[in-house]
Amino acid sequence: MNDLERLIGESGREMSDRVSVPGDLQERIAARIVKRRSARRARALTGAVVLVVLAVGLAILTNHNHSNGTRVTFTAPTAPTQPGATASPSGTSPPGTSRTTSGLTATSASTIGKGVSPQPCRTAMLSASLTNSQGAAGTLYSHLVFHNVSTTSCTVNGYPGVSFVDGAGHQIGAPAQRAPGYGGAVTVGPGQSAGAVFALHDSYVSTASNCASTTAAGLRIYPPNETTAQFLPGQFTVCANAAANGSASVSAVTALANLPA
Amino acid sequence: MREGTVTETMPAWQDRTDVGAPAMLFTDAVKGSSHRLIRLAYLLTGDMAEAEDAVAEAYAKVWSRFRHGQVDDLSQYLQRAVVNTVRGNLRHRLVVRRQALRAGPQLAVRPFEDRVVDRDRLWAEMLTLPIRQRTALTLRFVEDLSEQETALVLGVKPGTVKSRVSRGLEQLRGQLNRSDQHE
Repeated sequence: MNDLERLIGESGREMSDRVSVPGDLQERIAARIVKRRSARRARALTGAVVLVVLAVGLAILTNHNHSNGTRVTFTAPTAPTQPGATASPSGTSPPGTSRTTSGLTATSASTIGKGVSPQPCRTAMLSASLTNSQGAAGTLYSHLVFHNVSTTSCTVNGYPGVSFVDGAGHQIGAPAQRAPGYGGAVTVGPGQSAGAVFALHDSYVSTASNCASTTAAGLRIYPPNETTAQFLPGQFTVCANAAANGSASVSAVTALANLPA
Repeated sequence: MREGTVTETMPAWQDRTDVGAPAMLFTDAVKGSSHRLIRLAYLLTGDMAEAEDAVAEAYAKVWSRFRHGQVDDLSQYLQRAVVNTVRGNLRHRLVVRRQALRAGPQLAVRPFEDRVVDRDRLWAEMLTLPIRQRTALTLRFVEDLSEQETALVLGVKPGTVKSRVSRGLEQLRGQLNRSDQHE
């Protein structure tokens, strides 16, 4: 019997009129994110402490066996800094400052004697460019390349953020949507590059009824997980209406060899 | 309202985390999907404050995966997170609700005359169904998902969705008939 199904559907959807989005929803989400993170951090901290204690215990034991009377000193690691306390909203902090490994992790890593793995690439370490543009059936595909201009290896992992801006730097329309496909961390040595596929959907811009097409003066590009953007000049015809969000899409960053020719 | 330029104000979580572009995308997602998710949670819980909390928690859960680029279908992820959060909170309350509904005159606040009350009564009965059946019915008929899509959100097989839906409908129909006879 379909009546009951329809009644459930209609009456359920009608409940929309009772629902309002609380004004502080974003704050409530943020509070929960922070709570979850500190719970995670507490677990990680416990793990690290156990590791350090084990390592020190081993060191004392071996030392005891080899030489008599040598004292083993152990410097307590500094507590990790609270990100909220130091992060600057504009993201102008120099590379590395807000992301340095906590004293604890660094200590346990060096105690065990493993090499230091590359840090995430900061915006200032990278130079973004668009290459290999080629059109196909209403879409212009390009490689969005991140060149490591620093002197150290670093990793890029995830989606860059790409949006269109006008001459004054104001965002136009919706940011590029995320296209599935690649994933995983890419290590980029000094002078090397990694890249993503960036697609401009001309056919969408010319056909979307709510598009309000306009010409952008360039791209604002956030490397993955970064808060500071780079500006890349270039004229793009895009939708000014943020609800018409199909102007462009971008993939996750991958090794250059993985990108389509 | 949001035509032309997108506001440059950063969301609250932006100040406290190391993320840029994903946060922008996520902010848009929150704005675009929160009303519907709260409605879903409200239908599943019957309680607005609880619904809001469940949705906030669901966003927080999904965010950490989203910022690492591990989410490809955001709306499905969010629905799943809401359903799981609600389910975790809800188990014991079902019993209380069933007893309340059986004991007293149902929703005697307003008379059963107009459609508004009809839907209240329907959803009061819905709230006495097992959460799995209620969730399946809500996703299928209110959110208008297919059996396959519902199965993906719930993490079960399409056949399971089918049986939860038919059992839910059957039980609901029985309950509605029973309470009709009482009047």
